[in-house]
Amino acid sequence: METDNGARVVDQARTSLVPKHEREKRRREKEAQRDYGRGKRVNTKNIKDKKLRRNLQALESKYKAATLKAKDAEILLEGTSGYLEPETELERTYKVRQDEIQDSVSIATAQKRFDLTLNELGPYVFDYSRNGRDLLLGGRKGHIASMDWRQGKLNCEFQVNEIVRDVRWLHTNQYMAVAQKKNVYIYDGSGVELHCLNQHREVSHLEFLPYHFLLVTLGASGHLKYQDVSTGQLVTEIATKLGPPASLAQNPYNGVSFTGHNNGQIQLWSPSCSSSNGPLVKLLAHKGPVRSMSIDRGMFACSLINNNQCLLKQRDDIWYLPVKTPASSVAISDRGVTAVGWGTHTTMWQNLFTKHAAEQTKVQSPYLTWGGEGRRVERVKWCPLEDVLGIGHDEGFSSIIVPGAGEPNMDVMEVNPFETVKERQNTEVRSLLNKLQPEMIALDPSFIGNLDLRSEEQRQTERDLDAKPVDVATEIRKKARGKNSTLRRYLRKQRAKNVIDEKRLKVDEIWKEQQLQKREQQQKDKEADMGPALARFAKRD
Amino acid sequence: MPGRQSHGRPLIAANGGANKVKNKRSKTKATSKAMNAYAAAQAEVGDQQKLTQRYRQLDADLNDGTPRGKHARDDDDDEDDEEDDAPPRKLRRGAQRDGEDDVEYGSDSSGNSWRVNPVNDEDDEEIDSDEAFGESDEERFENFKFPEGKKKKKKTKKKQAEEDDEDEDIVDADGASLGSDAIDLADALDMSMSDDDDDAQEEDEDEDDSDIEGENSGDESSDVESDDQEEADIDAWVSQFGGAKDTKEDDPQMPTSKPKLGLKELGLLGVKDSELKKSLKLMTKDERANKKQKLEVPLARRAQAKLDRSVAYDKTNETLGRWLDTVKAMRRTDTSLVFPLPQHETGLARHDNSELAPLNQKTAGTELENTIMAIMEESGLSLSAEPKEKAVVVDEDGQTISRKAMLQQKRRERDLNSREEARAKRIKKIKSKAYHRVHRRQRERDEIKEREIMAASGEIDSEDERETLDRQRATERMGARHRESKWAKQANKNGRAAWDEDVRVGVTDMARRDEELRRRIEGKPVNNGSDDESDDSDDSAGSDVDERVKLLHQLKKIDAMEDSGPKSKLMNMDFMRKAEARRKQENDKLVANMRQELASDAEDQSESDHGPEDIGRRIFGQATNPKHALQASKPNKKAKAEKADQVQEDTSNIREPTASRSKVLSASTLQIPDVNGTTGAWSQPTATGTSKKQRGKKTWPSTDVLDIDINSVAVSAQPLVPAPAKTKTQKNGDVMQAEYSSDDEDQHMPVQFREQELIERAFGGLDVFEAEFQAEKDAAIAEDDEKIVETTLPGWGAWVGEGVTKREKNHRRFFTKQEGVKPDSRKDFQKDRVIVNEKRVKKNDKYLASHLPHQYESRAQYERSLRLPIGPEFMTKQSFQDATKPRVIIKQGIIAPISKPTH
Repeated sequence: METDNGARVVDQARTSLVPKHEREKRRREKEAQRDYGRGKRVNTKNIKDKKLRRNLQALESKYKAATLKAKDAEILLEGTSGYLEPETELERTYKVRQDEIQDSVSIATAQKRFDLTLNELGPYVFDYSRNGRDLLLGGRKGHIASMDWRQGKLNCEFQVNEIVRDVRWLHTNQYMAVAQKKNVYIYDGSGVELHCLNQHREVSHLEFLPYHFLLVTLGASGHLKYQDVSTGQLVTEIATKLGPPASLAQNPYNGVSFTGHNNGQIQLWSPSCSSSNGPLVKLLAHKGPVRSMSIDRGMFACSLINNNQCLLKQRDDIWYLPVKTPASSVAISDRGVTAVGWGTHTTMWQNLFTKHAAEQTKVQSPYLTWGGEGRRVERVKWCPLEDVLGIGHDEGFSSIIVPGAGEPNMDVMEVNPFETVKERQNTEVRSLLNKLQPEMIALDPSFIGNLDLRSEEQRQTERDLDAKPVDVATEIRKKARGKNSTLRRYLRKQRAKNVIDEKRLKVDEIWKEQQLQKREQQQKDKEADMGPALARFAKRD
Repeated sequence: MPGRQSHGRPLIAANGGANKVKNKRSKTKATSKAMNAYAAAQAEVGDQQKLTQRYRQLDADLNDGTPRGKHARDDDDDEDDEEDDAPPRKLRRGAQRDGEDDVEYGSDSSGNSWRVNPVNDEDDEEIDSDEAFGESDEERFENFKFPEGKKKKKKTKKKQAEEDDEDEDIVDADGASLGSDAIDLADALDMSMSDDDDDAQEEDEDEDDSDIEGENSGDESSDVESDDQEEADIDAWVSQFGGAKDTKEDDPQMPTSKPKLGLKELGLLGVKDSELKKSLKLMTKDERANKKQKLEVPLARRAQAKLDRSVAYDKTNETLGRWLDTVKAMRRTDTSLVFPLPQHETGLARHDNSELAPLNQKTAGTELENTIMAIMEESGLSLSAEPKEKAVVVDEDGQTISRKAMLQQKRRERDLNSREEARAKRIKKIKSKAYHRVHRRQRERDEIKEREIMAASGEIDSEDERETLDRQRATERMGARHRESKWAKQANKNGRAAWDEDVRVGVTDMARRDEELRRRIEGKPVNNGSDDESDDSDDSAGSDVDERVKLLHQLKKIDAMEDSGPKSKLMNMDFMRKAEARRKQENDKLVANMRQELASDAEDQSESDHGPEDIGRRIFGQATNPKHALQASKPNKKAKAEKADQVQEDTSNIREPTASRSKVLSASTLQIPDVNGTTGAWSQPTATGTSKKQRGKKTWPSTDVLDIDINSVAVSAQPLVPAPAKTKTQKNGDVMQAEYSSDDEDQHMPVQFREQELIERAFGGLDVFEAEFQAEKDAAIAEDDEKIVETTLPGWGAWVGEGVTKREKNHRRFFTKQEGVKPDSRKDFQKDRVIVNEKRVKKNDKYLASHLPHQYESRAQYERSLRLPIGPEFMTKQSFQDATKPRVIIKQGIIAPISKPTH
């Protein structure tokens, strides 16, 4: 922008004289704060209490040092991800075919491109394990197979003889969940059936939250169920009340589950929700069913499928990607490459979510395309930590190379694709120790420890002061029969402790009463056996 | 010589005469005597050393080398005998201590000692005064009188005793003769030495450094006791002995060590003349008046101890206070303490050799530094920055002006500077109004023309159009019916329109429709375009002519807005003037253009004033005007018409908030392109001339059509939904143009889109979801909102039965307000496709803090402190280790004490 006299108007005029190194420093701090910062500073200037002020100042300096160091440590990330780049304006990356890519990459990488022709039991759904090493394939007609796909080694393969709707690895490659016709089954790595989750009926979508050890299922009845796979308990069961669902996804940032429905709604759920209180958020995405969703690290992106439009939502901007048939599946990779499977095609879009750009530029053309050869795409999914996209279709499975899609700098402390058995076991134990509780799932995952903002008055009213104390007798008589009746169990545990309190006295009383009744009953039986004449001679014990 | 005595009183009773008296000398007397005796002895004997214990020991040591003969042993024996004489006083002391607790003894380091016994004192005195004068004395002091009281007597007696003792002292210059309580010098020195040691030890406990303490001891004691003059005196006196004073000894009262002239020195001791004696007596009297006759009664032990404690406390505090800075510094360091601490050669922690701090006025500590600083200052190289002079602003007249005035001046300059710019802005605004106005008319004309053409080609007949118009009116009537609806009534009653945007919009919309309908029925033209100009509120309602006049008026005003004010300096400069002139020229040109346009517009209007719009219902369908066609063909207008087309398309692409005009006319104007002309049952007649390119752009087809559907559905199906679902403003909802879908794939597209349109038209009811969603949201808002709940119990506190009026029945009603979330403070406020649940998730509560922890003042501070990353996954190894480092690290090695602070 220029004025008439030729002067340039600057957005942010630099009014004070700042030396260059100082500016450099500020810029670095700003970037560090943007990438690694954890919220805004608190103002320490106007704190009266000296000690608190000093403590908080120290705290702030710690924050700052931590972010700066994290930023500085970026030079240690040696892996860089490269993209296909056109050399001239006329070149288009989406014209590049897979065999061209395969020819030009190293042998090890080229081997990652393969096709599995399984044209009898398809279409196939599949899942990569968390470290991207194992692949679990599920054919609609009952074919289950797990394999180490890089080595081409088949771990197990079996036929369940009923419909398979979804498959999912659990926290390691030792457990897999398969949503079959009626129930969800859990198999171990070699295909041995471990559990049949018969509380999950006619499940169509599976999802696994690795940090909470929760298996999320969504069934034809529209019930969302959370099963804790470490303790085996059903955590919660929520009715979405919107009929058969269309899709299920999780936000890896906070563990919130997204359910997509046929009326175009998306609902956000956590295990703390109840069907009476409703979901955390309801969102009307578009007309028509939400066929598939993908959420990118919870930062901002959520992709939905309309009948003929794939819609990307980023902050408040909504973009539409052109697809020509209703898209069936969508996936966002580690580095933000978005794959959309529609009809027999898959298109991949790059730079849809540029993190720090002030204004998102519109992407004009896709990055890569695949397909168009008559294989109907069922599911697309990115292999974690690899430049590989898996495509499950009705003729089997294809793995294609998409340069620049995977995260080149992995954190092997988190997930290690090269782990040994011992490491895997250690990781399993550690992650079990660090397991998060289901109640910790919320839209804002950092809410833990925050201040409860309800007033004391409010809390008082919510605390039910008029609640009746639990009556021992009724409690005991709830389950009055059997070897494990409440009474017996209580006495069994209490007798060892030898604590006499009011409850114990009452329980004893009930016990005696019951014994007496029992004896009388026996007496009566005896007398009845002897007949009316001899009854008087029945021995009393 | 008196025999061994263990107790005073029985002996007093048993013995009589002068001997007794001698033994029973009061301590004061004894001490003074002892001193005098010592002095006298020194005078007499000169350098001859007393054979005190100490000296004897020394002697013995000296004699160690030589074999001791029998004589020596005898000597020893003699000495033993003598020593036997000496102990009695000690023994007596001990015995008395044991025997009588109420008797208090005092002594000072000089060897003076006294005894305080209030009961026995008198006795003593009496005995003294009575028995001091023995028979022999009486002879001597024949003519002596005791003119005054006892004390006098005593004094004289004392003097007498002194005189007596003189002889004795000369005879036996021995420790034994020093009086019972006297201490010989060697002993005194010994005592003081041992006391000193004790003292040093004590102070060692207090302060870890004995050297400095030893040096400073004198100073310190004077520091501490500076307020207490007496004690200072004592100190001074004690220091003569080369040791520290014994603080434990109770000796508050000390005879002043003022050098005095005694009789002895004057050589007047032997004076016998009575006259002289009298005068001497007077002299001694004067002396008595000067000095205290008797030592004051010392403070009670407890009181003394209290004083001592307070002094000791102060002192300890002071010594500990020196560590305060060290401790504070250590406590405040972020880094942990590592033991052993870094020790410096000097042992002084403050000397940090690692870094040289820049020297300045303040830090210059040593003399050298100070001098160098001074030199630098002198030579004009001073390091301290001089305080800046405040910039003084001076105006043209040379007067200093205040800051405020300066600001004002600047503002005025700025105003002048941008005058022409401001003018340009205003012109632009007017221009845009004029432009829109002109082009709106143009558009209308084009529409009419189009319709005409269509009618001519037989695509629409008057039947069709009539039907559409009838439909319009029907919908409007439907709208009118709303006025009587429950919703409208409720809205009126509750005054909901005051705060609820939706309701307000609904109400105004309804009113407008009502007005429109009335006008239509009366046969007046409906000003459809009024909504377009909702931005400029001043002339939205006015007719076109008014508008034009207004615009012209405004232009005139702008013309009048020539600059007349004084020019600023900047503006007077050459290049600025040039730029200004150029700008002005441009502005003028603009104004002229607009004038012209408006004028031509006026012409138009005058022509079209006789148009058929004014006539009532019957004229529908005949809206043709040959002149429009003519005008459309005019070359100068043609370009504008095209432009208008463009604008129209753009707006439809972006899906502007629909104006009522587009709602009404969209069915006929905005049509879905269809190249092939294969239309389905629900398809619309196609518009001519839409290019392929435009069609390619439209990937969200028939949006406007759908909008109408939404409204109508919402209105008809859900009369309770207050406002028709707001049309989505999706400015960013731009469709990505599929560049790659160029040639071959393009041919597939139309089929696809046709299908889509068909489906959408067929199942327009899909938009029910949107209406449902809106209804759901409204319900949620209402549920979470603040509520007023009636808690009246029917019949409670009221009369019942016959004869109770209605008013009485309703007399007592109770309402309580229920807290909730106001609609405008909701998280999803103004986000029409989102419902955020405002209910509390109870299960999450157990992870919340019930109250603000101590130390934090606000929630932000507390929550900020929680967010600091701790785990190794979230930060670099270095920061992790820093964060988890223990506060105190002890390494192997000798842990020397922290060096002592030296200030």
